[in-house]
This record gives sequence, C-alpha cells and structure tokens, in this order.
Amino acid sequence: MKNRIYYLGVFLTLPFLACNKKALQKEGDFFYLESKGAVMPVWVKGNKDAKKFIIMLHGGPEGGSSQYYTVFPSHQRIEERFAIVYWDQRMCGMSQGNPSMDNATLEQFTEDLDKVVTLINKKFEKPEIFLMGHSWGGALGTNYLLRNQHKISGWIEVDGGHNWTEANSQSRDTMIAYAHKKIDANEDKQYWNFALNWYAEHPVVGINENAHYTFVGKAKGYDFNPDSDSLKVPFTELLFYSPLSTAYFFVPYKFEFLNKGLNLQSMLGEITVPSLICWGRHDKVFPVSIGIDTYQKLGTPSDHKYIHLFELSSHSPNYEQPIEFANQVIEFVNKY
Amino acid sequence: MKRLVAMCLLLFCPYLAQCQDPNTYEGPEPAVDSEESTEQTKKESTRRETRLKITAGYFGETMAHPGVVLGIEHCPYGNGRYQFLWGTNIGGYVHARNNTTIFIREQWGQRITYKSGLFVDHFIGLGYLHHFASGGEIFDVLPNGAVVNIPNSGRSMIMPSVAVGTGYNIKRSTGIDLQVYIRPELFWKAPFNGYYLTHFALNAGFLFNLNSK
Repeated sequence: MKNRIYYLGVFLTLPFLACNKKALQKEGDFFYLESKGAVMPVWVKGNKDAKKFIIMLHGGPEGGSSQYYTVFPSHQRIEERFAIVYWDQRMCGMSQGNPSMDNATLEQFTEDLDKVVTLINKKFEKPEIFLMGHSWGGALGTNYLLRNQHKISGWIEVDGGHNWTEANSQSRDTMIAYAHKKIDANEDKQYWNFALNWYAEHPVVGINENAHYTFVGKAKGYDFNPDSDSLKVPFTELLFYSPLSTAYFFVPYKFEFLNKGLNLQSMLGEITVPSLICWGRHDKVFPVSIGIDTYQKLGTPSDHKYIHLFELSSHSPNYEQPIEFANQVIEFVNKY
Repeated sequence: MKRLVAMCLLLFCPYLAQCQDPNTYEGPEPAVDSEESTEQTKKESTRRETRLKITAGYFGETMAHPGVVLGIEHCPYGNGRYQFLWGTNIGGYVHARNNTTIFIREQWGQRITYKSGLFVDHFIGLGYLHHFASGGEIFDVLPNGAVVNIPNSGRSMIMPSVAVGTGYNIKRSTGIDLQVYIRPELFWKAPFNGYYLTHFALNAGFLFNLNSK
C-alpha cells in the first residue's frame, strides 16, 4: 500500500512541475474585454513608457488571431520602441464566450474596437493610440476611423481589405491573367487549366471560396517567398507553451457577412488622420492597385500620409520583410 | 484504413472476447479453476465483476497544459479478459492565459486484458464542464464609457469525449498492485463561440483496486 501511495504521489506532482510558465504565458499585461457575449483577450506587450500604443487588428476574420503576430520579428522590433495591443476579435483566435453569430457584423466588430480603445485609455492613462490593420483588420480599422478618428493618433494599413468587394474582383482577374501566363509558358498547364475552368464557373469569388485562395497561394500571392526564414513559425512553442489553443485551428463558423459586399473606398476622403499605407507589391489577395488608390483617396493632407510598397512581399510584408516593415512603422509612429 | 477498422473491431468486440476460454487465461485476473464447482465459479466471477478501481492521473490538455483527473471505475460486467466499464471522473486543467477548466463526467468503455498484463481500452464520455477565462481580469465598457470589472464566474458547457488507451499491470513485474495507463482523448466544449471547441488531451495515470490487500 505504501508503494502505491508513493507512486501516486509522484505522478500527481507532475502537473505542478509542468506549471512552469513560458515567456508567451507571462510577458506583458493580459486581460479580457467582455462585450455582448464575447470574452476577448487583450494582451499589451512592449515598451509602455513611450506612451504610444499600437492596437493590432488581425486578419481573418475567420481563423485570425492577434496573438499569432507576437512571434514575428517585425513586431518584436516594434515592441522595443512602443507598446502593441494584441486583441483577438469576437469569435476569432483565442476569443471565448458564446456570442451570437447575428453579432458577427462589421458594426459589432467596430463597437468592440471602440471598447478596446476606451479600455486602453482607462488602464494606461490616455496614451497616444495608433491602429494597425492587416488584411481584414484594414476593413475594421477603416470603418472605425470613419466614425471615431478623433480618438486615434495614426493609422497603419497593411494590405487591408476595406474594399473587399472590388479587391476580390481584382484578385479573380489577376489570377485568371496569371493562369493564362502559366499556360502560355507551358508550366503546370493541367493545374492552371483547371483553375481557369473553376473561374469560368465562379464569376464572383466569395470569402469561403477555398479553391480561389488555394490558387492564390500556388501563385505566391500570399507569400512571395514561402521558404523565407521570416515566415518560420515556432509551432511547438505556440501549441504547447502559449495562450494559443485549438480554437485557432478549428473554426467551424464562416463570416458570411463579407459576401454581402464591403466597399469603403469611396469614403476614404473622410479620413484625415496621419496614415501609413504598407502594401506587398505581389499581393494577389488584395492587389497593390488597391493600396495605391487608397493612398490617393485618403483625406489626410499629403504631408501626413505615406505609402510604402514592399518589393519582395505579397499579402504580408509584416512577415515577409520584417526589418523594413518595422523600420517604416517605427519611423511613422515616432513622427506623431 | 480498412485494416485499422478491422483491428479495432477485433480488439473491442465483446463477443470475441467473451469467447476466450477462461481456463487458458493467464492475465492479471487469474482464471477460474475448471475443477471448482459451478457455484464457486459464479461467486468468484461476481467478485471480480463488481470490483471497483480508483483512477488518478495527469490530464494534459494539448498534453502540456497541466491538470489532474480522479475517478472511480466500476466493472458491472466482464470475464477475466473482457470488461465492460463504467466510471465517474472529476478533473480539471489550466491553460495559462486561456482557460481554467473543471469537469465531472461519466464514461462508458470496454477493456481487453492480454496474458502479458497489457490491456487496451476505449471510452466514450459525457459530462459537465465549467470554463473560466484564465490569466487576467475581465472588463466591460458601459455605454457611458465607464470601465467596470466583471467577476470571472465562468461558463457552463457540456463535455462529450472519446478516448482510446493502453496500459499495463505492474503487479506482474513489481508485485505492487497497480495498473498504469496512457489514454489520449478528444473532448469537446459546447457551446463555444456559437458552436463547439475540439480539444486533444493526454490522460495518463494509475488504476488501483479498491478491494486489494
């Protein structure tokens, strides 16, 4: 009996030894925002003394997470200078609770973001707040600025989706042109003929059209250099020793509201805050022409708006050219 | 894939297991002596089949997020080689900066023990789970802009689960009346974000007979 108790004791001690938290589980300030049934993690990391906070608006929305961005060298470099607020939006990433899908609307996401801004102002005594929106986050940030730009010191858009409808149309055209080019060059003819047939049957590309996004990936429209060191993700650390959970990988719901159309391009003139537009030259999800048009249409005075095109990037220059990206962001935020 | 299905069927088909001749069984549960009276056989069989076991183990969500599970396992039906099992577990785990979960569940399963002392088992379960946000305070922002702290009272969820495991009776090699097991499992939390959330967990620990000497 003594032996059995000894073995049991040893075994039950193991969980406590495993409680040794890793950096991702103890760095920075961590708290939650509850809003209409959603419990959303907010993680503030980096240099808070500078009193400049960048709220990261992640991509997706399906499958997106701000916490995923923390591992990228560009963000770590920016964190040395400023604080970054990693907020997981409702029903995304590590967000919890049981909110209704009826609340998965751009308006509700925007209301949640306003609460994040209020919360950051309250907890950190009104720092300068910047927004940085990547992909879908570009749509959310743009929509927020159209209502609340007086609360924001600057806007950084990274291959943003504020003109989702037009971008999808242009993305489809870009991919058809790419398929023809490949067929003419006698490269992967069978595959690209299949893609052309698919596009012939799909005159409109929806958010859940995985085939389209697979073609984009094959054309290096997501990652210009998929083998780049800067794209390496520490999966083991993320899976076992970070706040990330299987929620990041298993997303059973689809954000259909984007299929109803989203085009904020014509309203960009109302935005007048200092802005930095960052875009990957080879982006085939939201083609670079959208980025250039965005820069031109922004209402911000020309000496307070900037555009930087990343020549070796597709959809994510923040991952693909981390140092150049971080330098651009640091220089911009330092000015305001 | 077909082979895998066929193997599973062979492993867990109670009919096949019951067809084993108890006289040839040399596993941890000694076979009934064929020379004993029928009456004695029945008594012995009843004693074995109603045996209770305590379970205690590590419950690691995604293996690394630590927790414990404790329970009682009951065998309402079985012979020396095959057991139909029913059990109650309580447990929980902590995933830092994600969630702290506690649960209570019922499990039903089958176990086949081989002559070597090795056994394989599988379980399905259904339980109640309480999920708390972990690692930070919870705030709400009221329409007037006031920030208020929300108590972390957690959320109620149901917890279906499936598990397949293996183990060994260490009494054969150490004389200590314990069985060790390792049992990967999938469990679900529902409702979560309007649907459900799938988790992988590793459950590993000890079984010991409550009525052993």
